[in-house]
Amino acid sequence: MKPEERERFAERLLDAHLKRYGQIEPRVGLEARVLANVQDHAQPERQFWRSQSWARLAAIAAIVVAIGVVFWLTRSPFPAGTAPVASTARETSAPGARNLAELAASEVTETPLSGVKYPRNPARSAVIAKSDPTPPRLEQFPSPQPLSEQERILAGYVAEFRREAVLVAEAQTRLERQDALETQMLSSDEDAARNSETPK
Amino acid sequence: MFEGRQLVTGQALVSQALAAEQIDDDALELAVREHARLVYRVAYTVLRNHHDAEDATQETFLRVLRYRRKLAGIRDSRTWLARIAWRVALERRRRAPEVLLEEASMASRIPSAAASADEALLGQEMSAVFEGLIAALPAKLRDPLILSALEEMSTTDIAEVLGINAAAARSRLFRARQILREKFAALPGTL
Repeated sequence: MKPEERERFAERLLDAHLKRYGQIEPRVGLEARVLANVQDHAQPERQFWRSQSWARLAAIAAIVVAIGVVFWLTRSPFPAGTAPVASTARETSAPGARNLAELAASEVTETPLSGVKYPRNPARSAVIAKSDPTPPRLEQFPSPQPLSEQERILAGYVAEFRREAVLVAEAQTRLERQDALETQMLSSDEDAARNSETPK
Repeated sequence: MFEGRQLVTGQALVSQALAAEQIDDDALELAVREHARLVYRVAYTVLRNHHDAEDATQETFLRVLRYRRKLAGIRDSRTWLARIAWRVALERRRRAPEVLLEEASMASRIPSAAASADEALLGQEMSAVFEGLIAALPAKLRDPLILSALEEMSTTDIAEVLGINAAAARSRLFRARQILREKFAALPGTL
């Protein structure tokens, strides 16, 4: 066989093979089976729309969202029981009270109550952090306060007339001690008189 | 009053949705009746197995069910379906390739009911030889060739299914046939 004839023959064989390749027929009733399967899968979706359960689901979802929004808006930024203690303690200015308050505040901030949930929303936490008026804790306790007007005048006098100031202070101390003695004597005399007057 | 109006609006929306769904269902049913065989054949060319080809056909139409709203807007639903079937079949072949090879060799031995004089030339052995030669082709050339075996598929359709342009499809088809001819002619004892 010539090469051209061989190629032509091969071409015919190839065509015949490809024809057979594409002449595959499905089993009878393919369309019916496919339709039945498709309808089976479409049924639940259709029932969902017809039964109006979508409306019920939507209503439930709306209620849940509303409750969530209300809860989020009304929730305190600090857990109950911690914030009030901390804020009142920090507002107190008396040195003795401040000591106790600082202690209480440090206890509150360092050991959180078990089961207390802190706010997780970062934006909300940022707002809380901004609105918190607590000054940073200082190293010295009690923290140094600026001198009053009278204290400043006194400090100036002591610096200028140191000797006189010492004398005045000694005289003042002596006077106070004398006053204290007199007060003590008076009170003991009153007690003795009261005891003698009491009927037996 | 407001609630009543809302209820009426809701019911109208539901009835509209159901009506649209009915139209989509009709389009889908029409597509099944018209193109199920093509979908099956496309799947078969890839899978070479009746059972898998039917499963792939079912899966193709289930995918169409999911996107049936698109069906009305599709210009050429036949090619669109063929393309989905092609992808589904390729996915299935990827999942179980070892079974398919075995089935493919069996399928080549089953004589077609519509055997013509040309096909009579083709004995079982020749058929097996061609099957082997086609399987040995690179996928880039094999895919257009096996799709061209389907009477319904033009070169443009093949290009559409494979996601390439028509010129590329034509050239790949030509190249595949040329390689097959040469290899077949070179086989000792075939001609």
